[in-house]
Order: sequence, then C-alpha cells, then structure tokens
Amino acid sequence: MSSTLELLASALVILFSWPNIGFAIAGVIIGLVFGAIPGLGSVISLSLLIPLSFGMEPTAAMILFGTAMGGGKFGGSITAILMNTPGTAGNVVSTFEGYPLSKKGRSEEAIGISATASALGALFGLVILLLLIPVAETIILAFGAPENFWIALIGIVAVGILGEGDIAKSLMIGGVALMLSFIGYSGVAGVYRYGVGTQYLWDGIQLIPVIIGLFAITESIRLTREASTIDQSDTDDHSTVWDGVVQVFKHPIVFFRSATIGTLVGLIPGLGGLIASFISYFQAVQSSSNPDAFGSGVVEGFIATEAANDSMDGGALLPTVTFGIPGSPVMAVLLGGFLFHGLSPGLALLTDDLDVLLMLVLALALSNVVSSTIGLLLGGKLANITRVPVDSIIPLILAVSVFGVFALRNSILDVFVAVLFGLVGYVLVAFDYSRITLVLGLILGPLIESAFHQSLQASGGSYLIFFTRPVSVGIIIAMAVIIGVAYNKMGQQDISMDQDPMDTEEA
Amino acid sequence: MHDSDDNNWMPSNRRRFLKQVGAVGVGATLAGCSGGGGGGEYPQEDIRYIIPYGPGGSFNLYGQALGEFMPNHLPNDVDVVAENVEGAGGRRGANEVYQSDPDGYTIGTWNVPGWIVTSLIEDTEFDLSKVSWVGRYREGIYGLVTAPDSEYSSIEDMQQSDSEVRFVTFGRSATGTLVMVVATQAMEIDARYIFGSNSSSEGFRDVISGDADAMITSLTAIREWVQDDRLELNLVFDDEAPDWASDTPTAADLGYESLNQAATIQHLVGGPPELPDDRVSILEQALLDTLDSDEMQSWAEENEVPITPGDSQEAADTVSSMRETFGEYEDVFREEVFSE
Repeated sequence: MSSTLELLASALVILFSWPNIGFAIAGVIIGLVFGAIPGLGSVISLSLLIPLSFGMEPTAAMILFGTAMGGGKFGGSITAILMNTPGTAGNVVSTFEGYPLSKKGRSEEAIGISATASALGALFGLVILLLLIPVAETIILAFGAPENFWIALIGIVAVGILGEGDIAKSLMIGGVALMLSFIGYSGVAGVYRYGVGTQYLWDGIQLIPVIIGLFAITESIRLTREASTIDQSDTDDHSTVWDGVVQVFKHPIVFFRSATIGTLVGLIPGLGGLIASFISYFQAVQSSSNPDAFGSGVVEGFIATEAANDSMDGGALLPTVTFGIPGSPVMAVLLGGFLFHGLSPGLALLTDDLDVLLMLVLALALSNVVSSTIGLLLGGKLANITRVPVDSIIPLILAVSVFGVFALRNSILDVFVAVLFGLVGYVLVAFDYSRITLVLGLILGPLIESAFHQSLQASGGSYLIFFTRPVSVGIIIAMAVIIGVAYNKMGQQDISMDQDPMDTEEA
Repeated sequence: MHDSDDNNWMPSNRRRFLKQVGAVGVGATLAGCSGGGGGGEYPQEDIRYIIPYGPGGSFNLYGQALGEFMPNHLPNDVDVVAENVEGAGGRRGANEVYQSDPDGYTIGTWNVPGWIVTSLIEDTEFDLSKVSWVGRYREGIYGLVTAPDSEYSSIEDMQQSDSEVRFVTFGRSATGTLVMVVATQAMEIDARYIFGSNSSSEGFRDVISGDADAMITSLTAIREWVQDDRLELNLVFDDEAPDWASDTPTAADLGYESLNQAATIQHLVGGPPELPDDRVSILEQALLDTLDSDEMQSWAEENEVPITPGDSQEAADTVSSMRETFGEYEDVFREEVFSE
C-alpha cells in the first residue's frame, strides 16, 4: 500500500506538469462538449482521441482519455437538466427529476446538485476501485453467465415495478422492447433476425438514435405544444447552484447508498451508466416515505441518479483493467486505447504499469472535479436557457440532436430512426406509457438472451445452473426481497387510500 | 476559316493551330496531374485505408500503424488515412472497399478465414476471389488454453475424456469459433461449444472460473495470461512453439500439422476488384517496405505484436487454399454452428 501511495504522489506531480496539464484541460473541454451534444458522449470522444494519440507517451494518453471520460458524464447532465435531452445514455434517468426542477425554476440548484453528486460520486467510485484491486479477480470470477442473467432480470423487474405509468403498461412496453432488442444478428444464436434483408439492421436497433428520438425529439414536440419557456415557475426568486451543493450534503445516506449501487453495477460488464442510475433511482423511490412525489423534482431522486452514474466508472474500471473485460461501452473503447499504447489489462497493469493506471484514475478524478467546478461557476448563466422562449430552443435541440445521431455512424438511416422514435415517444407520453422501459428493454434484452443461452450451453441444457450457484442464489433472494418490499408498499398505499378519512359519504 | 490571303494564312492559322494544340496539351497534362484515373504518377491523392471494425482490437491497432507509416513508403506526398467503418460484423467496411472505384485510393483490411466461411454459409455482397490482394501484414497463430488446475492437462486427456469437453468461444461466425470447430473435429475431441463470448478475456474468465474447460484463440491474446500463470497453454497450432512457451506441444508434434494453416487468422490487405496491376504493385511494395521499416519494427516490438509480411501472390494463394480447407468442413459448420 505504501508503494501505491508513493506512486500516487508521483503521478500527481506528473499530472500537474506541462504538457500533461495541458492535455488534461483539453480532455475536460472535449469531454464536456461531447457529453453535452446528444448522441456523442465519451464513446465518440475516445474513439476520435485514440488515433490522434498515436506517438504520445502512454501516461499522457491516459491523461487525455481519463479527462475526456470524466467531462462527458457531467456535460450530458447539463442538457438533461435544462432541456430534458440526455447528452449520453447514462443521463436518461437524470431527466426524471432534473428537468422537473428546471420547470420549477430550480435549474441552477439542479446543476449544483449534479455537479456535486457527480464529482463526489466519481471520487467514491475511484477510491473503491483502488481498495478492491487486491480482490478484483475473486469478484470478477464470481459473476458468470447465470449471475449476469439474474442481474439483468432484476433490471426488468425494477422496470416493471417502477416504470412511469401503471405496471401493466410498463410490462407491455417492456415486452415490446425485448422483442425489438432481438432484431439483428445474434452471435450466440448465429442467425440474423427480423432484419428484412438489410445491412442496416445487422447490428440491431441502435440505442443512441432511440434515446435521442424518445427524449430530445419527443421533448421538442412537447415544447411546441405545452410551454412558452422551459421554466414555468411564477417567481423570479430562483435557488442557486450553492443551494444544490448544500442539498447533497444534507442527504448523505442517499448519496452513499447511490454511489455504492453505481460502483457495484459498474462491476458487472455490459450494464453501464443507465442501469446504474436507474437501479439507484429505483432504490431511492422504494426507500422514500413519499414515493408518489417522484417525477416532480425530488432532490433525493436526482442525487441518486447523478451519484450512481458517475461512481459507476470506478466499478467499471475494475473488470476492464484486471481482466480486459469492459465494464461499460465507454470502457470497451478505453480498452482499445490501452492496446493502442501497448498496455495489456491484467497483472502487468496492476504491477509493472501501475503508474499508468494510477495516472488514469487521477485524470478521471481531476476531470470530474474540474468539470463540476466549471458547472458551478457557469450554472447561473447556463440556467438562463430555461427562460429563453422555446421557439428559439427547439431548433437548437433538433439541430444538435440530428448532428449527434448522424455523427455516430455517418448514417442517415440513424436519423430516420431517431425521428421515428421521436414520434413514438410522443405517443407513449400522451398515453402514459414508459419511455425509459423501452430503452431499458433494448439494453437488457441482448444481455438476458446471451446470458441465458450461454448458461444452458455450459450446463448441457440443465436449468439447475440458474439455481445452484451461491452468487445466483444471493441475487434471487435480493430480487425476491425487492419484489416483496415493492408489493408490500403498494398494498399499504392501497389500504391507506381505502381508509382515507376524507373519502366518506359524509364528506 | 481560311484567310483569303495565302501569304497571311499560313502564319496566323499556324499560330492559332499551335495555340489550340498547346491548350489541349496543357489541359491534358493538368487533368493527368489532378485526377485519380489520369495519366499522372500514382498516387496523386490521399489513400483511404478502411478498418472494418471499431477502435478497440488488433485490426484497429495495425490499421492505425499502417496509416501512420505507409505514407513514408509511397511515391509522392500523400497520406494514408485509416478510417474505422464498423458495423454488420465487418460487412460495412468490407463492402465499402469492395464497392469502391478500382482506382487504388481505397483499400482495407480483410479478415480471413472469417470471411471465407461466411461466404460459404451465407450470401455476401463481395466475392473474395475477385478482391485485388495487396498483401498480408499479420498471420496470427492460435493456441489452446486451459486453467492451471484443469482436469485436462493435455490433448490426450481431452481425447480420452468420458464427458464432453466444454469449449468457450466467440460468436458463431467469428474466426476463432470456426478454427475451434475445425480443430476439435480434426483431433476427435468430444466437444461442447459455448458460444457468445465477447472477447478472449471473457472466455478466459470462464475457463479460469470453471464455467468452461478450454478455449482456442490467438497467441497474442493468450501470451500475457500464460506468462502470469493464470492460464496453461496446452497446444500451439504451428510447427514450432513460441519462445515464451517453448515446452508447449505443437500441432506438428501431435501429427496434426494439417491444422496449422487452418488454425490461423490472416490480416490481409486488399482493394476492390479489377484494380490495375501497376497500382497493386505500388501498394504491395509500399506495404512490404513499411512492414520491413525500422519504425514499424520498433512499433511492433513496443506493442509486443507480430508482423508477418506477405506479398499479393501469397495473400491470394492463402485465400485460395483456405477456401479449399474450410470448404471441406462446410457441412460441419452448418450442423454444429449454424443449425441451432
């Protein structure tokens, strides 16, 4: 441990020296900009930075990559808060409470909450990462295909219980989403399904165009019909970013629970920030004494999503650096960056190249702190966008969204998909169906299918493999508890409504 | 129109004629210098190098290096722009190259034998026999690994096992999967296949945890894991074992040398059909010079990756012989891999 601390201290000195600090600043700015533009995010920024880093020292490259990654998450939160347009997939859940806060004239406060919870959440995740490295292999080996199946199933269950609108509608949309997720080539099944012979659908329905459509474009349509400005409050007395900072410190239990959930979810490859923030939000709702208020700008819910979304990176780095198994889509690209600079995940990265790994960790920490600081300083100015007439905002949202979607793969068909789902999203909202359920189904469907088939192939067709492994049993118990608690709460709410003293004939 | 004065016609018309000829000549020269298909020395503009996969992985690694170093070995001052065109399992990139103009300004990486089996089982938009092969930059050798505490410490153990040996592998049409099927069939191992691993690392995790018994994948992926004693290398599909695992039995040692050619992954460079021979030659020479250069050799040493140069004829011959080899297993692929 002392040698690790020495390496950390040495890495700090290197990080703040020139030109490394220059790379760090550039990375933060790139990350913020790419994160704020819907559809781009850290996956795209890293994909572009990797070839540009050819010839750089590995240490300098890690600084650039780490700072770009850290800036991306917070950049995505800004657009989620101010325009209900998530900049990245992980920011979808940020819109649940962040945007309602903006509509109440509390956008600066929301930015303050996001900046603080994101930075502290990221630092939490990175500290846990460093502490878990000695036991990383044990953790990673404990989660195989059967465990991944149950984890993904918990996500589906949570969606069914928590989805916007009523449960029947959530489950219906979830089913549709699972079916949509099966479109495309399945490596585990070896068939190309429902692609109508096109090359475009080979990789399935792409997630980012769907998210842009369901949130950015749908929101644009809604704004044309429903508001003159995003801020619909009657008062000029708006809370400030510093009110938001204080809110995070007023809710330490919510913060630490959410950061823990985010870190743990990050350990499971393939889940990512959206699942982390959703499960954390779900927990916040379940443990609240007033769950019905969620969706109207509840601070605890917002803290939960922001903390989890950023702490996830620390967890996701663990399988990435110890096993070369990317913990999230961003980590998959980062892995490419490692290979590009001759770094191999595994024991070498944890011993001979530990200084490079620590540099990445420090760069991630620094970028989160810097980007959050920028957010706090500029929060007031950024919040003014919620007071601009929507006639000026809508073209901006649409133009940036279309640009972001097209930039993904230079495919106009992705733009068509986004527009299509924009219309679908409007209909879903109008009839009280859950958009987040649709997105989560698209993410979890392939995970569930792949884990299910791999488990059965490993067991020779025996379903006992799902019920006889210790970690699987633990996850099943946890799922049963979640369902039990949820239904118990719903039952209590039904009883209290039946016994409402106001609901009497005499009244 | 002739000038009526004969004495004046010859000089003025000759001047006009010479001007016209001169104008046409200058125009033709300019056209040849600026156009790709014109008469100027090739190449006259930047060359696109298509990498049909994403930013991670060895295809991108080599592609970016070629993009960096190849311009130094091409005539004229042009760049080689490495471009990731991913999607549809590599089809987008492959089609991008195959359907481009045969002018020498679009070439790319081709994954063989992956595309060979795909073209046997499915309809593809490209015909490998018509690709204009430029050369090869890498021949990846495969190896078979197990966990250090596995009940199977040799191929003989697997062959004599009473129960199925569980092999974890990638998606069903991945090169590693196809190599695994050919190898296990040829060595008569009663194997059960677990498909769907997203990477070698995920497969190694399954082998180490006991969810699978073995994996066949490239030595490049295996090396660090074996050197860290997290995996055991039981077989190398080559005539000789690598220096870092010199005690490992080879396919040749066990009498399966015929597998050596099948159990490789070839990173070939090719262009669209009907690329002019002179341009293929220029590209071929540039590729070979690049692979042989000090900068490329240093890069390979730093990144601990192999370089296995091959010229255009070798590339074409490899494709041809692999089509024959894998063609013999077509029925096996249809039954074992693509029928479920």
